[in-house]
Amino acid sequence: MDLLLSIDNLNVYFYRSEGVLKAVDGISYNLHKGEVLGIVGESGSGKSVSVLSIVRLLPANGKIVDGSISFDGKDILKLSMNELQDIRGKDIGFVFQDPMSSLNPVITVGQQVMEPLLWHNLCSREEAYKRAKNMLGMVGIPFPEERMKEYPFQFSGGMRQRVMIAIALICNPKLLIADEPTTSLDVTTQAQIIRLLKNMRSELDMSVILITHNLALTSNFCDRLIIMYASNMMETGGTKDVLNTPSHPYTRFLLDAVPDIEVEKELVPIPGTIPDLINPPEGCKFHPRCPMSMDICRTEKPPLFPVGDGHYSACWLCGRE
Amino acid sequence: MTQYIIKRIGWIIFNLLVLSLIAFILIKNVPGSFLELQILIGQAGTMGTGLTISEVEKVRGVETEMMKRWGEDVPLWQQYLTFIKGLVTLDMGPSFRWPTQTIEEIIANTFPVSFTIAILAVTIAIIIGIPLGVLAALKQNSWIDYLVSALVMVVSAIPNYVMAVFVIFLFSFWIPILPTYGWGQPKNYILPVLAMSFGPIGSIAGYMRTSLLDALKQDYIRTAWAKGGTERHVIFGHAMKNSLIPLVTILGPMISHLILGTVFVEGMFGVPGMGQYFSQAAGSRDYPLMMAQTVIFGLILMIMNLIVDIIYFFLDPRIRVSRR
Repeated sequence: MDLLLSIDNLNVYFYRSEGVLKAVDGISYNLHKGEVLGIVGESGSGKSVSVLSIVRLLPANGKIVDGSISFDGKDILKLSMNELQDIRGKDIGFVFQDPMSSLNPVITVGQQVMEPLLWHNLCSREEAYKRAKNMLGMVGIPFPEERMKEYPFQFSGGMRQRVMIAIALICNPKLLIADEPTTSLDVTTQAQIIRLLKNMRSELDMSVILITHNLALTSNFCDRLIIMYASNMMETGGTKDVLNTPSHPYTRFLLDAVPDIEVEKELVPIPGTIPDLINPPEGCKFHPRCPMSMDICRTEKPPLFPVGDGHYSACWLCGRE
Repeated sequence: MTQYIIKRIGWIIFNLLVLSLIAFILIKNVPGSFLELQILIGQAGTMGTGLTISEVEKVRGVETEMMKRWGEDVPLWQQYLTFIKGLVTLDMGPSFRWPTQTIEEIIANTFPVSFTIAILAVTIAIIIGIPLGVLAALKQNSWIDYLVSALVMVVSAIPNYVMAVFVIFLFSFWIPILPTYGWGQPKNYILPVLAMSFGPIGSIAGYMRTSLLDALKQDYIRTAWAKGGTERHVIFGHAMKNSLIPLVTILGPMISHLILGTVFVEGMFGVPGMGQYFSQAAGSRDYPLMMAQTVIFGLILMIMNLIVDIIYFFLDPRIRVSRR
């Protein structure tokens, strides 16, 4: 498979009045064409920041201090603003977490769906209207022509997220980034949205990065997983490998925290709390909460050790042999 | 929409009745009367401001007419009804202080002047204030932002009559191109309008800056950037539309205060506006004029608020659609 996105040693810092927050602390990964990558982690683990960096959409106090991002052969960090705007929305579509606030309340839904086409001068207004209508139909909005005249507040949460997906897909992007697309929706709608993303992926033949804190959503959608904790990659590998043979203690904890309807089991909370990222712990960021931590964990940051075919784990336990 | 406006107009009429009733009761219970005050001033004749004997006679004549009209011998509620009748039929009789003019004449002569000045001042304030506020918001924490914020603070804090002195210095003294006093020509409007626009420029620029900064922080702005929007698309297409909505709300009260609150500026430039008359009405216990003033101020404020709500209706689909 061809490489679409390659991130190498990405470091993103946030400059706050309390100090410098390392939101992404040296992560690297590749994404191939047609591949679906899941990035899983708790809130504040740096997963959103790592993908917002791909189109340099960070808040004003966030800065990419080191690393390189290569998308479709282009060095993202060296692009001018115009070149970057050309990629945003056209080659890379974004779906954000909260569809309530992510759509402009005073602009019609139709206009908002048409905008990426118009802004990138991809077609005439009439053509854009037709394509927006078709796209809204494709993402499962009934009576798309009537609903294009309406405003976001006239849509339900799930319908708004479908609109967001239509906006992200209208230019037929090479990469769709879905940043917690289901977090603010109820459970049945969550499943519908994931199913929709899955169908659209096979229909439009694009790559997808799905960010979530819900491991259960990844299992039948993602090809590969990255587990993030406190701005670092903990484990990465094929979805089946990571879920069936987790090799990092943090991943095991995450899996123990997923309820299973078939097996009666006790849900185990992870002991401790996520670390302060302005003054993070030395060595492995997970060691204060890890029951298996050793002396080396407190002093040295573990590299990614191979534990299987394309399966890596940043844990000293895996590098002992 | 039509139904809504009719309902609002009904409320305006009701509110005016309540307002005029309260004002009537208060004014009728204030100690002192116009005649007493004039005679006091007349006794202090050497001050040069009092009335001559014949004028006192004239005032007495007017007061007798007023007595007959409002009838001090009839109960207060009847007096009030007479006032309302005068208001509705636009026949409120002469003023005490300006006995040769009826209230209607005073308002008909002065209102257009005050209204024109207020509208011109607000228009200038919008034309200058909005771009200033937008500029400050877009260059947040730069020297431009600090300069605009400092200007906003200065012009909001300085009263308009001090600004009037400033514009007189600027355009009549240093660059002597405009008259300082007089009325009748279009150029006479320039200085008073300028003097009165500074305060509104400050508040509009300040408001615009805050409101645009707030809009730029919203999630939908991030969405617009993620869609590949340029600054023009994102800021003027998406953020401005939202940030103008709260700005509209301050325009209504701003215009009504400018219409009535121009006493000092009118005095300095010799503008024959309403402020001159109304500022003296209360001091001289000119009951008819005070009542008219109260009702007019209430009416202007409520009409402005209605206009603002109608503009809101067109700007904000959330209101438009839910009212349909």
